Amino acid sequence: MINCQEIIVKIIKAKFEKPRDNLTQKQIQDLRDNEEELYFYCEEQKILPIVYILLDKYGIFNKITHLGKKKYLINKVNHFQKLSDLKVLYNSLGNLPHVTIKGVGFALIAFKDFGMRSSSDMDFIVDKAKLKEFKRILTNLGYTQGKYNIKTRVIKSFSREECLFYELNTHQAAPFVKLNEKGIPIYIDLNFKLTWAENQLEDIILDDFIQDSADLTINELQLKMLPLEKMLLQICLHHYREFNSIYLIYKGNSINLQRFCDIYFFIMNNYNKIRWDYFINISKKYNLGYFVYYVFYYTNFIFESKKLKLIISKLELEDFANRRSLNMFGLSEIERKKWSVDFSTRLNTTDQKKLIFDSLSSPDIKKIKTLENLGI
Amino acid sequence: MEEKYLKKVIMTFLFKELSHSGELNETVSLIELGLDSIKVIQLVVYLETELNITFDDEDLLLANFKTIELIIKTTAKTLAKTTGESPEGVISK
Repeated sequence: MINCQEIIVKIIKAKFEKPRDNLTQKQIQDLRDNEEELYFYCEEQKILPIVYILLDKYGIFNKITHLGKKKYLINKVNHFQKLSDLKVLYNSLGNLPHVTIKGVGFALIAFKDFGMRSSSDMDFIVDKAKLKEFKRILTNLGYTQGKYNIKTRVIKSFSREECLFYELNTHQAAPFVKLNEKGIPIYIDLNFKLTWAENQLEDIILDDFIQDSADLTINELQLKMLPLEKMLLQICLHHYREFNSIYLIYKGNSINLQRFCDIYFFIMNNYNKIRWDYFINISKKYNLGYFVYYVFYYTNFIFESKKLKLIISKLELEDFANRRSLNMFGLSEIERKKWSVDFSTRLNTTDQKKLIFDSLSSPDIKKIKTLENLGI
Repeated sequence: MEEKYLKKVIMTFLFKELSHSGELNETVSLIELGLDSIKVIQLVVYLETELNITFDDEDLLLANFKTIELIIKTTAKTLAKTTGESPEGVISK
């Protein structure tokens, strides 16, 4: 038995934190002897390509090297394909205000290598007032609001009720999809909220939020991205939702190391470029400080980083901390509940659904079933 | 369109779905009377079918459907976009 989380954190920290604390010969041998266990842990936590890259300097492993490399290369190919698919759409968007979030741009900025992170949909932030125009462009390019069935290879359009469900109950419009020239489905998500449907307090005008977007050129394509501080804020909010949504936890282990790696790598790779005072100011301006604090707190709980601690102490000075809520989950007051186990247990379990199941109320189950039926 | 008619269309839905009998104050919170997010979807589809309109994305907020007064206002705005009139002029007293 090895402590997989401890070893992985050590390997990752050795890349960024001083002193560069590399693995000892004995630890490397332990890893080789218990590689199967480490491999399954990496798969469960969705960090196989990261561990593959970082373990490379210690020589060749079996599954981690071969399957990790495979995943790493698939991520690269997928991202290049997405860039190619995006080109056509970008040419049609003209001056329509929008930014691209997550996906290929985020992977490159956070990890400096977009093989280390996978992505599925292509996500945009667009003000709700501009949705109609964005939808018109997507429809003209052959996209449909619907779902691709892998078995029948047919796209089934959403009903008006399904589209309305997305618009009224989530942070995004019903997803758009079309098949590219290779027959691969391209999914586009239009996000019109920075937080989530349960957060009725959000009153952020997205046109204002995205007005200082910056261009990032990848493979001859100029992607409109948020500045680093807003990018970090957006990914913190996205991951806070994943860590706290009863539906996402129920659906399948949404609290995982990959999401904490997103935050840690992003901060470590961009620490000196991020205007931290600006980051804190916008968190305060949009009343999002607590969500940021939550994500930073647990990222530091895992990685114990001096740089993270420094930022956390600044967040605490701004009164962003709410320690009582750190052990709660649920996105709205009515859904909020206390975890029955500590953070390490929920991070490392293979069945987070089991950990919350007994505490769910009838309305919680009803909501989960509705979302499940929609396949969100 | 007469406000009386629009109110009747809205009330028909609310009486059926909220199992509420008697007068409904225009400013009372329908959420407290049981209008949840799923019923709002049914209400939107019902109004779109009955009035032959399509609500714009920017108007599709739960907050726009939480009282009868707000439903009338949102529907009037949508009707006005369809007919080219002003939201104030599209509904006659």
